[in-house]
Parts: sequence; structure tokens; C-alpha cells
Amino acid sequence: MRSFIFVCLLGFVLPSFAQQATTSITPLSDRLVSYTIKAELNPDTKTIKGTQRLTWRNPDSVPVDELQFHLYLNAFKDDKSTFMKESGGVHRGNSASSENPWGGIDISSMRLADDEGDLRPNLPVGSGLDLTDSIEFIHPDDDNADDQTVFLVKLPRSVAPGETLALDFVFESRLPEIIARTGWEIADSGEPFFFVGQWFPKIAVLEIPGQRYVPKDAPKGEWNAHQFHANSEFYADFGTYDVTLDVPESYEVGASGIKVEESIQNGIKTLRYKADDVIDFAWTASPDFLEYTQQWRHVFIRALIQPAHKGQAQRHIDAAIVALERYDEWIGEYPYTTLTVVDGIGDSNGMEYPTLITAGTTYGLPTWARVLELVTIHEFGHQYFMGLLASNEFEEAWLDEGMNSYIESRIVDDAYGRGSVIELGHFKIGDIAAQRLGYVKQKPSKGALITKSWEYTMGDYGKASYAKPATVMNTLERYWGWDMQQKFLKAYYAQWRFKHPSTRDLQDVAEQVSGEDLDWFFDQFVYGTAVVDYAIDSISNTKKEDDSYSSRVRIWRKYDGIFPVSIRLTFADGSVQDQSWDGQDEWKDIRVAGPSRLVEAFIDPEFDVLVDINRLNNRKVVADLASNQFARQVQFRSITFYQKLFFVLSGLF
Amino acid sequence: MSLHYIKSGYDSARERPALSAIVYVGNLIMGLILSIPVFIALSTATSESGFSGDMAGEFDLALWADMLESSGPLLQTLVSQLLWVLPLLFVWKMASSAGLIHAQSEGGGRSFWTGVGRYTGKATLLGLLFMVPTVVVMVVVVLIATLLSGVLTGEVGSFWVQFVFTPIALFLGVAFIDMMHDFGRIELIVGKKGVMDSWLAGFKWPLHSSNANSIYIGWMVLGMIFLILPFMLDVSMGGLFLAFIFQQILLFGRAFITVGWINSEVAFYEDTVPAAVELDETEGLDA
Ligand SMILES: [Zn+2]
Repeated sequence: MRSFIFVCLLGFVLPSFAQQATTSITPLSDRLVSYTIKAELNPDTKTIKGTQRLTWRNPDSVPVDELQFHLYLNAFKDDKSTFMKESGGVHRGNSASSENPWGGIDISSMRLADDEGDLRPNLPVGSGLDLTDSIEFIHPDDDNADDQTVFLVKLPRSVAPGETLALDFVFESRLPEIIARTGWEIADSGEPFFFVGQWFPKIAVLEIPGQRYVPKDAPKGEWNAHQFHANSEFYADFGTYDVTLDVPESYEVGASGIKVEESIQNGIKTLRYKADDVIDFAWTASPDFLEYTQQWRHVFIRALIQPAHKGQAQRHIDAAIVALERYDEWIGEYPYTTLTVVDGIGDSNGMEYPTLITAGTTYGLPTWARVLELVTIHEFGHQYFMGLLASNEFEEAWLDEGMNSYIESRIVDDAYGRGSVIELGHFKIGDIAAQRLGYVKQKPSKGALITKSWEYTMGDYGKASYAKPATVMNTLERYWGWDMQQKFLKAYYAQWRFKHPSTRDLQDVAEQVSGEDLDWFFDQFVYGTAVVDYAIDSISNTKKEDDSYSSRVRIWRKYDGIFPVSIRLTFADGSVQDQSWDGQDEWKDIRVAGPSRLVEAFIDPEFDVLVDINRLNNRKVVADLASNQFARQVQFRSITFYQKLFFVLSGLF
Repeated sequence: MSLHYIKSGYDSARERPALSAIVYVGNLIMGLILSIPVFIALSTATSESGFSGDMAGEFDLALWADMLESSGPLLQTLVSQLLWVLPLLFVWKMASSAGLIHAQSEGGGRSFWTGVGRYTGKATLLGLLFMVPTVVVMVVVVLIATLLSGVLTGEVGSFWVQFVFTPIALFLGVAFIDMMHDFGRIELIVGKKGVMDSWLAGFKWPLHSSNANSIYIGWMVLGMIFLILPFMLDVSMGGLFLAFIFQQILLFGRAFITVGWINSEVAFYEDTVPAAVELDETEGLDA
């Protein structure tokens, strides 16, 4: 089923971006790489036969004589890979279970190209051009000699600075039963569903002196190639993709970039896609997809929906627009002209690739549970942090997942209300609040944001890459206000898009924009694991001879985290006094004298310091003002709950 | 025909509101007992925090998380309390049903407490016996659901099996056994049968008499309405004291329904099986 919604305003024809992958006619990125791939999907064997011409420009100021590559699919080759060993065959809850769940990439030919034109893999191999036998698997992160997710080749001749090298590959990708967001699965219809990510030989990133953490005065650049880990994602250079796919005629396909050609011959559908200024190319194919489309400004939004979820198609599109609008306003333009939201199957869901995201929902999902909206907004946000800023997700996952979770929580709360993820009567759970709990109640003293993703224990990765950075950034926003935060986010995006920023770069932008040294903040909450918890320990009042009062509040900083806070003092006559405190001392006494006794002390009354792990102890009243209103209310509610429960249970016997 | 019995049940419950009050108060007391540790835990955690009023006003995830963290151990005792409350509830259900049947048999006007005193033991034994078919029905429903999920495959199929078929089948199956149990108890108390005979006799009622079914279903629907309404009230205006009061009124109504329900079943039984009744000694109307 197709439903097209055309947006035409007074004869205004949508801009001619239709044949352009980005809004710019000039390159947006340095385009160090280009991939021209021809691939043929065999749905029976779940394999993809491909040929690929890769061009790579040496960004360094010295010649390069060795290249490194990722073969991510080899993580699913067998149970000896680092990925499988780390995950115990499990990734984010899903495990490989079918008879032949394994995948992998075999390169049957790799050689230096000897012509300028399209890849012609059957050309006779010139002497010294064939590199197939030089492929040498390496394992830079561990001592697992069985891991084949990274390889290097020594070049027969070096690549001069600025020179572009062309390499031709012939490869076959065996897709695994879906794991880690890639592979195949048999849908309810009995038809196969494919989500094809990280599926071709991909060159690693050569970080040159001055880039990220490579010293400016280093003699040469370093390859930053990590194995595929159970917790890790990816890292790649920007470039262009020209990908031609052959799939069975009945298949609906979604892919990164824009579709530029489509033809059908002998039951085979051939589709050609172009994606510019992106770091990756992924695609999906299934005969089951229902397609829904809508234009938003320059972006052609396409939703590919499972038949069981067709009632929720518009929810996908609406959520994508909610995200597009706010990213555009808060951070900067989305420069691509397409966005495809895929309703995948199983573990393919909740993943991001350039201009192509998977969301995920369930049949019958009620509208008061906005998990579909949340995941769509989240995955869209990766277009910025994974796609456009393209930080190193292996080493600094928080710059992608964490910054994205922060904006996601902000968007969800802004668009749907502060308690909107689950909204059932009076029971409301908001995104910012839920992210905060994911940090403050999950061993907050463990797991710094800056940790290589494979060095986390499983639980800490999720907390430190999603929940904690979201809470840390929400705290920074409340610390200096949304105006400053927005300036910072916009500047960060404007300065660093297409340039792989590091944590240090992010901090630099924040400091430039605000003019403030932020070491105290970053050292505690980004590089370190400081835990903030301020509590009112006691309130005491002494009546003086002249009937005035001398009062004292004792505040306790319970852990190592330090944060400036305000303290609100309320007196018996209703007067209120706000004080600010740098939060440094472990114990702090505030003494006040006045005509009225102090009845309440409240640290951080506006709840700006979201990293404070316990809010309940932030406030105290004197004993005679203690109130059981809440306890009584819950008691009454529990009485009626039990009464109802007992009537129901009585029916059982 | 069944309407006639429902009307009779309604009249009887109206004539003797004390019976509804007993059922209502019994339930209320058990709820009250269970709610005491909740109160203590929450009072300890929040009374001097200054947040009590805010938390009563609206749900705050952060404060709830802190509160549950600090009073977790005390709230955990709630779970262990269910261990003794469930058997107590079971015995109370047997005792109160025995009392209600006795009180409303032979044209009514008999003592609730005499029924409790005389029949609670036997009714409890009978109740234990009826657990057998209840468990059997549950197992059968689960088996059918398992078989069904082999046919209704996929996401949509399993949605219907898990969230529609299984709960409805369990509900109807349990209600079916509950109806047998009701009539089994009447066989025991009004028909003066032994426990084993009453158990066996109970099984035939839903199958033999369409009137028995209509009476049961009629009251069941009313009973459900009077449970769903307070649930809705709780969701919509939960925190307000007014909601508590309205819910209590509805729950009294629910107790009233229990009384009327049993009266209808007893009256129907007595009309259908008149010979089995043998006169008791006269009793005062003390409840
Ligand atoms: Zn993510």
C-alpha cells in the first residue's frame, strides 16, 4: 500500500533537491573516501555478492604505505570473535539461535585499480597490483588471534600526501541471523527480511597529527581501527557512495541516500542509490514493507512499515518530523534530502545509519506509551551525532549516544510533555526523569563517560553512554540556562560537523562560547565519576531574649561530587531567603538571625542539579511542620487497591 | 425467570444491609492491615522531608525513586504479608459465604454468624476441593493457549492469544468453577449434603440449568461494573480524598452485590430442590 501526501503551496514546486543527496551543490565534507558498489542479494543463501571500488585520499602530510580496514561482519563469523567472546553470543539481549546464524565477509580479490573507469573485476591482474594475499588480520585491542574484524595490507608503493588511491574488491557477505542490528530474519509472513549494515570492506580512519588525540607534532598519522566489540559501534571517514543493488522484483528497498535509478529485468529489481557526505551506507529489503511518505521542507520522509504495524505508520512519520523540527531549530540544518524510517524486525530495530534509521514497535502499542516516538526521535538524533559530527564511537561513545540521548530527552519532554513516555492517568514517566534514574540509581560512582567502549562492564556501558551523559548535559543546561546551552550546541555543530570532534573539542567549544573554564564540570562528570548528593542534615532554632531567633541549617555533602547550589530558607512568618553556596565543604552551617524561626531548608529548589543522586534529602522541615499528607494518601489508595484485589481474588475460590 | 431471582437478591440485600456491611468491613479490615506498613514506610521517608504535600499533589518519579530506595526493606515486607493474607482471605471468603447462605436460606431471616460457626470448617474443606478444578481449568487454558499460539503465529497472533484469548478464557473458566463452587456450598449448607457429595453436586449446576447460569452471569456483570468503576476513579482522580470516599461507596455496593448474588442463588436452589430442605431450630436475626 502506498499513500503519497503531496505538499504544494500555491504552485510552489518542491525544491529541486529531489536528485541531490544533500542541500548543497558543493561537497560538505572532505570526502576522503568514495565507494562504488554493485551488490546482488541472494535471498535463499542470505548472501550478497559484491564488487567495490574504493578510493581513498591520503590526508596526511607524509606518504602512507599501509592501509587498515574493517570487516565488521566477521564479528559474526563464529563464536571465537572478540564480539562473540565479549557478549557470550548475546548482543543487547538478542542471541543467535537458528541453525546457521553465522555471517562474515570473504574477500576473493583485492587489488590496486589499474584503470580510471568503473570497476572491472575480471580484468587480468597486473603484476604487483593484487593485494589479496597480503591481507593480514590484526587485533589491535586484544590478543584474540581469531578475530578477523580488522585487517591491514602493506602497499607495494606508498600513497603520497593528498594522492587518491583506488582499490577494487570482489567480496561476498554472508548475512547472519539478525544480531547487532544486521542480518536476516524470517518475518511472520514467512518471507525473509534483510537489514544490511556494516556489510562491505570498509577502510578505517587514518587520524593525522592534530586530529583528536594525535599530537600535533607527531611525525605521522595513526590508523584508528578497532575490532568490533560487543559494546562498540563504529568510526569512519566521510565520503560518497554510489551503490547499485539487485534484489528480487517483489522486494521493497530502503537505503541511505537518494534513489537515482530503478529498473526491473527478469524478475530482478535493480536500484541505484547515491549518498554524499556520509560515513556509511546501509540498506534494508523485504517483500512485506508497506511504504508511507511525506515531505517535510527539503526532506523526503519515507516510512517502511511491517504490515502488522500499519496503524502506527503515521506515528513514525510524525515523530521524525518532531525531531527534524527541533534539531533544525536547536542545533542546525539537516543537510540531507531524505530520511527513511524502517520498522524492522527483532534486533534490527533501534539503529542508525546515514539517512536510514530503524525504529521498532509492537502490535497494539497504545498511544499513551510513546516508546515508538522515543526510539524514532533517538535514532533520528544519530543523524547529527553519529552521522554529521561522526565522533569516534569506539573510543568516545558518549559523544554520540550520550549527546543524542540528551537531545532526545529534551525533545520528548518538549514535544509531548514532561511525563510523556508513559502517561497513564496520574502515573507519568518523562524521558529526562527516566534517563536520570538510569544514572543516579545504577551505581553512579562507576563508569566514566570517557572510557573505551570495550573496557566497560556491560551495565556501565549503557549507563555511561546513554543515561549519565543525558543527565550530565541536562544539568549543564540548567546550570547556565537554555540560551547558553543552545549557543553551545549550535556552535559545536557548526564548528565540528563533518570533522569527528573529540570530547576535548566539545569542551573547548563550551568554554569558548561561555568564556568559562569548565574543567571543574568535565573533570567530575565527563572524565571522572564524581557523585553529587547534598542533604539537609538538621535545622535548629534558638529563641533569644528579645524574642528573635537565631537559626542554623546544617548541610552535608555526602560524596565527592561538588556543584554550586542554591538553598532556600523559609521562615515561620512566610518569608523566604535564597542563598547560594559553592558546595565545596563536606559540612556547611548556614546561620541566620531574624524575627521569625526557620521552618524549612531546601537545597536546589528548582531541581537544576539533576546529577544529585537523591532529591528527597535535599529538603527538610522542622518537626512540628512534618506532614503525613502523602503517606496517608498512599495508604488510602492502597486500602482501596487491596479491597478491589480481594474482591477479584475472592472469585478464585 | 432469572430476573425474578436477581430482584429477590436485591430485595434481600436491601432488607438486611448489615450483611453487606459485614462483607464490606471484612474486606476493608484486611486492606487496612496491609496498608499500615505502607503508611509507616512512607511516613518515615517523607514526613519531615517537606515534599509530602508536593508528592500528594502529583506523581514525581525522582522523589518516588528516592523514597522506594530508602524504604525498600519495609515495603518488601508487603510481599511477605500476602503470604498470610491470602490464606486469611480464603478462609474469610468461605466463612462469609457460609454465613450469607445460611442467613438467606429458608426465606431469609436467619443468623449470619450461626452459618459461619456451623459451616466454615466444611465450607473450607469444600473450598480446598474446588481448588482442584480451578487448577485444572487454568492448566487447560494454558495448554489451549499454547496450542493456539502454534496456529495463531506471529506478532498479531500472539497478541491475541496472550492479551485477549488467555485472560478471557482464564476469567470465564475460573468464573465457571466459581459458579459450581457457589452451588456446591449451597448443597452443603442448604441441601445438608456431605462435603464430598456437595463437591460432586456442585459440578452439575452450570450444565443443568440455564437459569443458574443467567443468575450467575447477571450478578457477575454487576460485580465487575462495581469493581471497574472504582478502578477508573482511582486512575482519574486517585489522590483526592473524595475519590477514596466514592470508592468506598462503590465497594460497599460491591459487597451489597455479593449479598444479593448469594441470595439469588439460594432462592433459585430452594425453588429447584425443595425436598432437600429440613427445618433447623429457630434462630434470631442477629446480623
Ligand atoms: Zn543510540
